[in-house]
Amino acid sequence: MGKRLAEFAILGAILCGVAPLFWLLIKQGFNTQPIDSSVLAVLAFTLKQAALSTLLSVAPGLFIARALTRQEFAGRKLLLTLFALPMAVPAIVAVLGTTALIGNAGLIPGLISPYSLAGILFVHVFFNLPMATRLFYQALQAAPPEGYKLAAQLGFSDIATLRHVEWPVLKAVLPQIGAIIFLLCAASFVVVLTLGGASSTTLEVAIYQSLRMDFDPPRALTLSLLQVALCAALIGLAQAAFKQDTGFTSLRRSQHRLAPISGIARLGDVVLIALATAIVLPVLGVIFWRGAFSLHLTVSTLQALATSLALGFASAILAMLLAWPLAKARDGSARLISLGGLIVPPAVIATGWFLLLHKLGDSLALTCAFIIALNCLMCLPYAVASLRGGQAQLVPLTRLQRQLGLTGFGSFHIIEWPLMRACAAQAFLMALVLSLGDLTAITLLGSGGIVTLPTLLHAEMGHYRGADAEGTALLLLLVCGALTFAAQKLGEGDA
Amino acid sequence: MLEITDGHYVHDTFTLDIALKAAPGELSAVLGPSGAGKSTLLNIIAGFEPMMQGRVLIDSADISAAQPSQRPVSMVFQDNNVFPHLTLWQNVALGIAPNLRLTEAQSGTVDAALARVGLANLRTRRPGDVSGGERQRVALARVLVRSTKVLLLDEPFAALDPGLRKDMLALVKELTREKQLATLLVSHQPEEIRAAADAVIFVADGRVWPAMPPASFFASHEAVVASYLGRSASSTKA
Repeated sequence: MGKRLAEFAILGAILCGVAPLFWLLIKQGFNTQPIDSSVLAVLAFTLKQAALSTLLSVAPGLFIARALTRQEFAGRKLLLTLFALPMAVPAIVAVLGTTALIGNAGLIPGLISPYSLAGILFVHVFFNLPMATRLFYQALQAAPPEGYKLAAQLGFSDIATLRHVEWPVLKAVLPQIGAIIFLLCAASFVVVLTLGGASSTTLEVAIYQSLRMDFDPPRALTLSLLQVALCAALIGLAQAAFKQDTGFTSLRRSQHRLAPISGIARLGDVVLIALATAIVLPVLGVIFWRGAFSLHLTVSTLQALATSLALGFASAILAMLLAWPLAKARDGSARLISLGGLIVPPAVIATGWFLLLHKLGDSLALTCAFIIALNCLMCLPYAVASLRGGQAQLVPLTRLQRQLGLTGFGSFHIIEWPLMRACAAQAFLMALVLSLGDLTAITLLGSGGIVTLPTLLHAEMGHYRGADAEGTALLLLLVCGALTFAAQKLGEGDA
Repeated sequence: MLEITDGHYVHDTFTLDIALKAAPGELSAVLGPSGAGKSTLLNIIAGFEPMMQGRVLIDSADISAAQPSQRPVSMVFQDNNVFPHLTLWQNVALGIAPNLRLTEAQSGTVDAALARVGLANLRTRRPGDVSGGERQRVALARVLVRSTKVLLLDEPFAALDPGLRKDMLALVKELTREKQLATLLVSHQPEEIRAAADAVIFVADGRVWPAMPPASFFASHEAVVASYLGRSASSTKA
């Protein structure tokens, strides 16, 4: 029952976003803007940017994960935790960190300009290289230990081990990881909005601009349709990859190093790990370094923090209510609908909602509701994925549960909640972090005077109040970091 | 001859004392309660786990410090003995050349090994397309192409049907004789292996017992053996 309700709510919300666009289309006699050279240029840049971001994240990530798997060294766990951090960093904070690092007034000026394709790629790699590394690392950890033992017994060289043992494992997850990162970069909004220019605009940003700057609905519509087609195709690709043969499974994983590694391979591993650290650490470090001197808790920052927390909690609670039945359902429709916010990207949904908002009259309460709803849609895929991990351990118990006649609240109370508690808390905190750092929904829907930490930070950056911005960024980073740390601890306790 | 002298293994609170002899051409059943250290014993011989003290000798040569690939030892696991992306033939060929570049003579060796375990017709199939028993035969064929003196099997047939288990056990026994291998087979079915085994190596209470003939093992009045075999210990004590 809950599943149907959740599905209808999400479909309804997406429909409310898409319907006004089509209503506009009909009203204007199907006079959409044709796909001309300006639209094609935006599409081309979107694809180029996303492809380069993916390549620069996935290729090194694959080898870094392999290095981390086979090298035992003190601080390896710390490094993996460090690699989990970017997920908690709001996009606008990463942008500030990048400009403070490589901008004109930054610590290392003149290396590359942050306001260029290179700058956009830098931030995207900051986010996605660690993610790719962690995903590949997990895949390698889950590989059958017998493969490594056979490699040791048969005297495989480094190349042969990669070819026969590791590559099949990595290859199985590669399309999926690649597609997810491509998708995230293609739909990237805040980074491109702040660092891009007239010639470097993605579909997501162009939709926003054509509607809010130029009020050109036909153009927004054409761009939206292109964006939906692109995202749907990528989701399809990622889903298809899921069906890949997973081979044989195994339970135990030996922690012993089984075969010696050659000196050259060891050196390569060290260089790779150092490189990854050099990309992640400075961006975060510079915010701590500069922000520490200008961290100020004025009334306005505290108010912004309170507003952020209120909006964040509301969307995280809403996301959990919707995600729970969807994660439990484990069927195709639930899976597809939970991805709604990725297939129909925020800019498209927000465009429709924005038009709707105008029709209904711009009230503060309504704007808040739309911001909460959009944030909820955006973090839903992650919340569902996280809960599904916990559900997996419930599945083997289903028969026992049915035999004992445990249903409804009894089942929830006695079985589901104790087993899902840690997982649910983790999903909730992740949803909270994503919503707290959000600048996308609030920008797309128009803040209507609402000031959150990210909008405050964006405004301070826009007015060249560098020191204030750095202090605000540090505060936001600390809050998000603490919540992510708590989520991680819960996740480890669960495992 | 496989020998472990004065062996001592420690991992956290788990310890295992080992003194062991296994003759070539003989099949020794490794029996004992769950968690007693049967797999650990095999891992020590294969070089996957280090001992704190003691020596592993094969034909009087000390291999205690040798890498797994430098030991004349082959190990067959319960599962995952084959790489799912390679054909059965390639999986066997890995035993000769990990880069899969074989001379004509070597290819012939692989063909002969596959034929010996009854897989000649399936050489181009992949592991996903054959049965569990056939996958284990691939592992045995790979043992045949390596210059192995010791064969270690860690519950290799646990996932197979009883009839199939019997066939596989017979095959292992034949290969042990033909290749004069010192074979150690971990099993959870003592009754099944009773007839085929030349000796029993019992692992319990933190120690590997010296090998004994199956008849005397199954008739043993030791309380720990009786309780393992499910016989009432109190009646045998007296």
